[in-house]
Amino acid sequence: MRNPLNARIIRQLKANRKIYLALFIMLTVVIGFTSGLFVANNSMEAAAKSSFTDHNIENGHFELEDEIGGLRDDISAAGITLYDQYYKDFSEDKDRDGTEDAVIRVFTVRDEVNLASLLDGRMPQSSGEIVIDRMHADNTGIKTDDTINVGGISLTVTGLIASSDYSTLYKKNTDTMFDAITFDIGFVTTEQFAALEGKTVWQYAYKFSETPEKNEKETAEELAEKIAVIAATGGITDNKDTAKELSNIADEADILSAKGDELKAKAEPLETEGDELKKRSEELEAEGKKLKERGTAIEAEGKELEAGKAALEQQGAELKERAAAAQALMQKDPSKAAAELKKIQTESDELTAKGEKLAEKAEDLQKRGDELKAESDELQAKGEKLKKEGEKLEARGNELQKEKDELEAQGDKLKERLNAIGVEDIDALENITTNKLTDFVPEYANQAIHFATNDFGSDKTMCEYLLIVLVVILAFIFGITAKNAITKDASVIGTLRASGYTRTELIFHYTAAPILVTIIAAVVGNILGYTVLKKVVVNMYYASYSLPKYVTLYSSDALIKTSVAPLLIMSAVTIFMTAYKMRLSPLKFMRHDLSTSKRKKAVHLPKWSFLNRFRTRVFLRSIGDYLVMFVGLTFVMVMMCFCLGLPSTINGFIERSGELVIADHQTMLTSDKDEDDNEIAPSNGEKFLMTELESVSEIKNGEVITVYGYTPDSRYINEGEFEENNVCVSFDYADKFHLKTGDTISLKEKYSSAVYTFTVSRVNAREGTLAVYMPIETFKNTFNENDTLTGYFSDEPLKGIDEDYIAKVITADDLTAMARQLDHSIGNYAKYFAVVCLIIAAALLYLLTKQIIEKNSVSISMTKVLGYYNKEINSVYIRTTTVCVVIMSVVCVYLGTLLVDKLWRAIMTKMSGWFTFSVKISDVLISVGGTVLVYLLISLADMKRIKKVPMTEALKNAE
Amino acid sequence: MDTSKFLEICDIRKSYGEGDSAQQVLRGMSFTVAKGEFCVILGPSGSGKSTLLNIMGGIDSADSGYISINGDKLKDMDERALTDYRRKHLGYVFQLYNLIPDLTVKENVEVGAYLSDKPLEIDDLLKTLGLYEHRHKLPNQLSGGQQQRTSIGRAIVKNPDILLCDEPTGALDYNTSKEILELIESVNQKYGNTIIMVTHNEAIQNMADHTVKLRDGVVRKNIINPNKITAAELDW
Repeated sequence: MRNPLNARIIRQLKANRKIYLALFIMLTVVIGFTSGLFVANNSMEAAAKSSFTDHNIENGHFELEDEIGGLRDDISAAGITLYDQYYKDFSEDKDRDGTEDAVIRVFTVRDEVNLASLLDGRMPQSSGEIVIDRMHADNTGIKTDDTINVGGISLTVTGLIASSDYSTLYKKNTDTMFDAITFDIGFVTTEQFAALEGKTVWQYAYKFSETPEKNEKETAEELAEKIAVIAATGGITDNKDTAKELSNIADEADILSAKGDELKAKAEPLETEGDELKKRSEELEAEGKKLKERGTAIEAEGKELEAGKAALEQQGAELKERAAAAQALMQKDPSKAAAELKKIQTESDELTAKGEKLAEKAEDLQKRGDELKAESDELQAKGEKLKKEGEKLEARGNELQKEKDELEAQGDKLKERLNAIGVEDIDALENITTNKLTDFVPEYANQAIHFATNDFGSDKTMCEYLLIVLVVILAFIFGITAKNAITKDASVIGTLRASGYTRTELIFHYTAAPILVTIIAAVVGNILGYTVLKKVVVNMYYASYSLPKYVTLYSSDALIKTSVAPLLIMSAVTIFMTAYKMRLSPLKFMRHDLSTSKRKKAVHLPKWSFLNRFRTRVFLRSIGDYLVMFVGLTFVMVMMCFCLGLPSTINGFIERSGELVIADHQTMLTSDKDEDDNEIAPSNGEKFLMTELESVSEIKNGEVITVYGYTPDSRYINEGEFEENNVCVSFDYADKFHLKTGDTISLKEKYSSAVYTFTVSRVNAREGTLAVYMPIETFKNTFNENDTLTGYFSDEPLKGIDEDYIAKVITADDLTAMARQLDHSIGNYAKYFAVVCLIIAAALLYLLTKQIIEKNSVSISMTKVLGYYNKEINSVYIRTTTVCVVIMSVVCVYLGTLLVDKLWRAIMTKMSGWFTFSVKISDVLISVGGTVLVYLLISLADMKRIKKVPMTEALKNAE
Repeated sequence: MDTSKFLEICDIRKSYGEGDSAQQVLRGMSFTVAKGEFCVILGPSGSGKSTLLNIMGGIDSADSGYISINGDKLKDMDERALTDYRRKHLGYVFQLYNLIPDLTVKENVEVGAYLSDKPLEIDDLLKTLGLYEHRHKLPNQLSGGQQQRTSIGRAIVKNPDILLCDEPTGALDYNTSKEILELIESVNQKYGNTIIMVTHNEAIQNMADHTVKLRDGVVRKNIINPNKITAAELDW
């Protein structure tokens, strides 16, 4: 025989139709939306995953500084097949008004990897045609057959596509967020690509020839290293150690060469000095010769003078003899003697004159001789000096020779080392064409491919939590409804129990209605989920991501999570609550004594007015309902704060972006030196060095952290000097990674295992970036020059350098890309969600205030019987709830702001980048005001409900 | 004003349900109650005594006939006036007490006091009722007799003209019932309230000034008791 109580289930539903209808609608909407999200999610995820085979998605891609050239075979030898995927970035002018509306990345139409899904129109077939991304087109209003200006050339949009490697429009994998508004991709024919004048980025997609044995990360790291090595060594090796040896040899060869040059430079003046010394020696020799000649002449003259002197002395002696003879003759012949003496005197005078002349000559000769001697001495000194200089020169020459011998020996050793790694000689290094790996993005780390599918997962997780929380709240409400039904039916239950009905039969009887409502809600919700609501979710995804076409798939996972799980939760909660109440004895039921605790004592209240004490007692009696209300309102406020705070947060971030950038223009150069090895120095701007490392942290690994090296007198980053290994970090970096002064941070190089450790010496106030700051000298001493980039901060665009040397200019727009995309994809919906939250708040407040009034209906009835006016009863029962709702709204919104901050931090920690969530006071006021307003409307219904409570209620029931 | 017709019940008829299933509960009931009188309405289950009491209390309305108090007919009163009538003139005592479970004894009495401009002094009343030491207790901490005394306290604290008692001893044992009856008797004597008591305990008619016996919705006997005894003397 059928259980006769079953007939009551439908009657219970009818009797409580408003509550059950409200609960049914809420459950249906929540289950429907969740089911829709799951179905859409699973279907689109399946479509996205099938893209890997259907559209032959790459295993990764990399970019080289120059065209791959002869390195293709060397790189392919690493076990990969390469596909050219060159692109050029241009300005996109959708309305051809001469203003750039977006940046479009133009590729040639692909037919091997990363194929595009054509969603509208046709693929380009000739020059002058282009297909562009569907989502960007939707966002910016471009339609098939429109004409847009790409890099100054008008192209007709022949179709809209979703490219499998750009399901999320990330301009650069390291970008904080994708940007489907100011970034676009397009495909043109090969001819059109060639005709577009712009810098080609040499990008190559790769696919593994065989499935790698190692995990994705290890495989990618090894491959990146190999490609970097092959490019840097011009294909000589793919071995890192060999490349390092080669690099060391090249460095040492450079050093040797420099030393050789130095030696040569030293030898050159030595030779000049030698020549000069020789010249001076020859001059000295010539001078010596001349002196010798002059000495010989003086000597000859001296001899001549000596001969003259001797002749004069001879003549004097002869005169003297003749004078003696004349004297002797004087006695004999005085006249003759006198004549003779006179003649002798004349001859003597002549002889004296000759003697004097001779003496003068001798004196002159003596003087000349002395002069000659002095000159000879001087020449002698010069000769000695020259000799010493010659000796010194010889010594230096010997030293240089020694150094030369040493250099030659080192050169020979280098040659031996080169031979050991298969390079013939050092000159061969000069002829190698090297390249440089500028970017490497493995498929698994490619945000453009995976962000959307990851987002599917996070959406599902969030929705699962949402569903569980809501179902638990609704289950409590159901449970309270069942409990109230038990209270109402106390005497019936007592009688039935006394008649032999088991506790289990009655538990199932009183939980049947909520479970039945849940089952119906699950069925209807799933039907809506597979039809109407799925489309809502799909449209949301299509508004955010560039996804391929999908086919709706049945999901057992969705069915379990949106039907079975809620049913189990609902059953568990309601059965538990009912069973708890049912454990009382039949007698207690018959006596209407349903207090589960032993005789409770009254809470002592202060000496307030009677009505205030009455209200307080009403509050205490319904404290369970108010607690459910508190939990529910907290949940609603979290959602409200999120929905209202998100647009405010995003807009606030965008508005403040101008203050957040380090400089109006942060220009990154492709190189710090030009082709002639001269430093590239613009006429304005302040130099800085930069590198990007990855975080090594328990909070998040692999987050890109920008490291800046700033000049000592920097106008833009003025953090001063630090001790060794000490750095300053940005506020957002500290906030995201929970850093404070004195903490140690570890940062890893992207494509190597090198890890740098620093101590946080200061946290600056800079937001919008995850960055580390250090003086430029510390930066240079810490990082390898090859791994760093040079840039300039400036207030105006850089002047005085070739555009080709500019790799990238970071402005406030780049900083806000994430915010703008979030605003576009979620911001619009946020307001609608806020309205949904208010509806949920209304339903929650309606149900709970109804419960509270029904719980007190006998007392309300009694007060009516006693002669209380309705306004007095309202003032007791409704004012209590009103005060609670107002206080709870304020407390819950405060909790909501705290919880939403935690929630946001949890979300942002999983994402790249960081910005803090802020709920404006106006959002708080709207949340509180909206909730209170909704409650006031509900309280009108409550007043009506109180008015309807019949006085006979008090007479029929007994507490 | 004729105080012997302080409360006049005139040809009251009342039925529940419609058509063939309509059941006539009161079939033209008439009698009067004098001011300050202790009137007992006796009758078996289904005789219509509780329905009559509800109509007297302005909780329910009659299909025809009228009830007047001090000359004012209840049927002429709107909801507000009926509320004022209950507020100013009536006190209620129920079989199952109907106390507000979350208010203490004193607060339950205050529920009644709040309605009066000149309520009785609550602590004195609580002492009279023997509840003073229990004044901070909740109803579920009290015995049935204590709960009923609280209920009487709530009813009489506003010193009503009429005290309507619906089987006030129906849920109590003999001794407690007698205590309650003595209390009601003393209230009647002390405050001069008119007391209408519905009961199926025939012994109680002995302490009443006036007994109305009902059966099948009509007054079978309307007896004035010249030899009433005290509640203490009652026995059943």
